[in-house]
Amino acid sequence: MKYNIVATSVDDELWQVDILVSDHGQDLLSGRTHVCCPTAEEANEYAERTFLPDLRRNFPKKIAALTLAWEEAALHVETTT
Amino acid sequence: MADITQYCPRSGRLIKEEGTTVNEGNMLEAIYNAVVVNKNAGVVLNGSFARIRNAPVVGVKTVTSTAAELFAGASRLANRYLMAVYNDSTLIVYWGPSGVTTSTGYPLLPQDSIVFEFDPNTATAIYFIASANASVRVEEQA
Repeated sequence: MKYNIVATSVDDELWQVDILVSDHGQDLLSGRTHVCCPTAEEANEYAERTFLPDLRRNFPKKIAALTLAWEEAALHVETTT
Repeated sequence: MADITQYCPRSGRLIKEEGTTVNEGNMLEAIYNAVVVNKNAGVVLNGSFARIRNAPVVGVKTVTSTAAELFAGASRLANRYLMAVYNDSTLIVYWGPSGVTTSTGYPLLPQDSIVFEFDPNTATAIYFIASANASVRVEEQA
């Protein structure tokens, strides 16, 4: 299962964040939110750390199997230490 | 053709432009024109809501120290007329327009709720922020 995040500046320190979760080329869930922060990196981080986990919690039938990059990294650290 | 809605003296009797009193024939003609010819006799209540027409959308969301738009699903429900938010956390969360901060936002106390009513034809984003992660429950209706 993959996900894509696109942050687009729509105003001063306001980002439109579009996400798309797909699996084997099939789109499973798309979403859009707006975040107030200075940079696209922060908007992306919000999407990955907050928006996507919330969507996974609210749409378990669609994207329960979604694993986020930071979760994989944390899992890797746990297994290697 | 006289516009019988233009002249309405204190007596309540409708007077035509030339000063004569509107008779029953004029009234029937006006009603016919409104209903049949112009089809503008109906009252359109844009933005009104009286009952649920679609299934509500619900969700549990996290309010963080970054101000972000709040809604129940994966994106703002199109044509929503109502959004209810229940603060399920132990923190005060704050709401307002984009750029809202914990210093400027309107507070929603823990275990308290708020109902936002919207014009369904005007998309309006509501932003929430908190001092740390706070869980809220959100419901939208369109």
